[in-house]
This record gives sequence, structure tokens and C-alpha cells, in this order.
Amino acid sequence: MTTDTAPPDAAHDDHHEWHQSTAFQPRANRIGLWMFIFSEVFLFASFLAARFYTTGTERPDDLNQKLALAVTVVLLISSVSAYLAETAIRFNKRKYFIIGLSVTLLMGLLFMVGVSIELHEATLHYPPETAYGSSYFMLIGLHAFHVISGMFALLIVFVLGIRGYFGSTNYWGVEGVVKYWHFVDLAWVFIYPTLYLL
Amino acid sequence: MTTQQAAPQELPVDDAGFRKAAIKGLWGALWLTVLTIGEFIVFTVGDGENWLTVALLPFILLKAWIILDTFMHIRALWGDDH
Repeated sequence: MTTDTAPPDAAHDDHHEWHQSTAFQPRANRIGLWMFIFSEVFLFASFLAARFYTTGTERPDDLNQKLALAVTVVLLISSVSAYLAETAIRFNKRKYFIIGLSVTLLMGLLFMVGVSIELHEATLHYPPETAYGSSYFMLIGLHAFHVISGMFALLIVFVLGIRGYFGSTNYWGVEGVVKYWHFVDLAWVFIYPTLYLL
Repeated sequence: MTTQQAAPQELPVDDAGFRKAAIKGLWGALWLTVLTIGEFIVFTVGDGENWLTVALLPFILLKAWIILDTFMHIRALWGDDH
């Protein structure tokens, strides 16, 4: 078997080096982000398990089911708009990118308003000192903290995007933040039935 | 020694590719909506019943998989996506 023995010229060498560094980096970043997400899964799973350990499938009768369903829908919409924003920047559609991220931020804000109302009602009906209340406040609080940090990251990406920082060949920043936002949605897919339905 | 390397040119606009990817996302959204409504209907029917946990589990897992696969591109980790 023969191999190409001709020495590469300088331009080819530079290009090869550039290609290697940029091709490797997003892959390394992706794996790093997935490892972080994986560690977060354990954090949420431990508190989900604690809810069933402390109260089984018992839950208070005065949970606001309509509001919980509404905030679930709001968060799902935010995930779709975040996906569309990421897709738009991958295909250099800046207008849709801005619209997508704006909708995501708005939905995030709406979600937080809904959660604030829920927390206010929770302090009246099942305060943190009760068994169910401790799981409820811990899970809702932990998730809300992730929503707020996700919104903060989305806002940074939004501002950088308006300034033209991202494009079809440079969108890792958007992808990373949007992936984190999807994880926040994924966590809620498990938290919602754990706290409200079961 | 450092070398200044030019950033690559932006890729040409691919309207068909964008439309295809956007439609994929909207299908994911539609399925999530259907499953969320289904989950709530099952809850209203089976509230307080012993089988509720088992009945809700497929809805939860399917929703999680749609988010992981469609939105988070988990298959990109082993090179099937993107």
C-alpha cells in the first residue's frame, strides 16, 4: 500500500491546520456540554426521587392544574422557537434567528411569571415545611434557577447575534446555549408529571 | 510564531435546507403538543388510580426522546445528525 509522500505546500499546511482546529473544537465543545448535561440529569433525578421517597404518589388537592399545564405549553413553545433560531443561524437566516430568540426569551419570561404565581399559591396551601412542599419548592426552585440562567445566556447570544457575531460557519455559541435551554425543557417534562400529575 | 488566518466565508443561503430543518422542528412541536394533551387526558381519566404512573410513563419518555432527538440532536454525538 502506498501513501502520498509529496510534501504539502505551506498554504495547504495552513489550511489543514485551521481545518483541524475548527473541526475539532465544536466536537470537543459538544461532548463537554453533553457531559455537563449528563451531570445535571443526576442532580434533577435525585430530587425527583426524593419527592416519591418522602410522599409517594400523594399530592395536595389544591394544585393549580390549569396554570401548570399552561406553563408547560409555554416552555414547549420556547423550545420550538429556540430550535428555529438555531436552525436559522445555521442557514444564515438572521431575521428568523432574531425572531426565534425573541420569542424564546418572551416565553421564558412568561414561564417565570407563571412559576411565580405557582410559588405564591404554594406558600399558602403547601408551604416548604410540609413533606410535599419541601420537594415542590426544591424542584421548582432548582428548575427556575436553570430557567433564569438559561435566559441570561440566551440574552448574551441574542445581543451578540444582533451584532453579527454568529453565522452559518460560526454558531457554536448559539447551539450550546440552545441545547442548554432544551435541557431545561427536558427537565420540566419529568418535573411536571412528578409534581402535578402523579 | 503566530499566523493570522482568515475566517471562512459564510456558506451560501440554502432555502430548501432551512425549510426542511424548520419543518422537522415543527413536526417535533406538533408531536409534543399531541403528547402533552394526551398526557393530561390520561391524568384526568385516571386521577387517583394505581395504573396512572404506568399509563403516563410512555408519554413522558416519548416527549423526552423527541426533545433529545429532534431539538438536541443527540445522534450528532455518534455522527448520525447535522
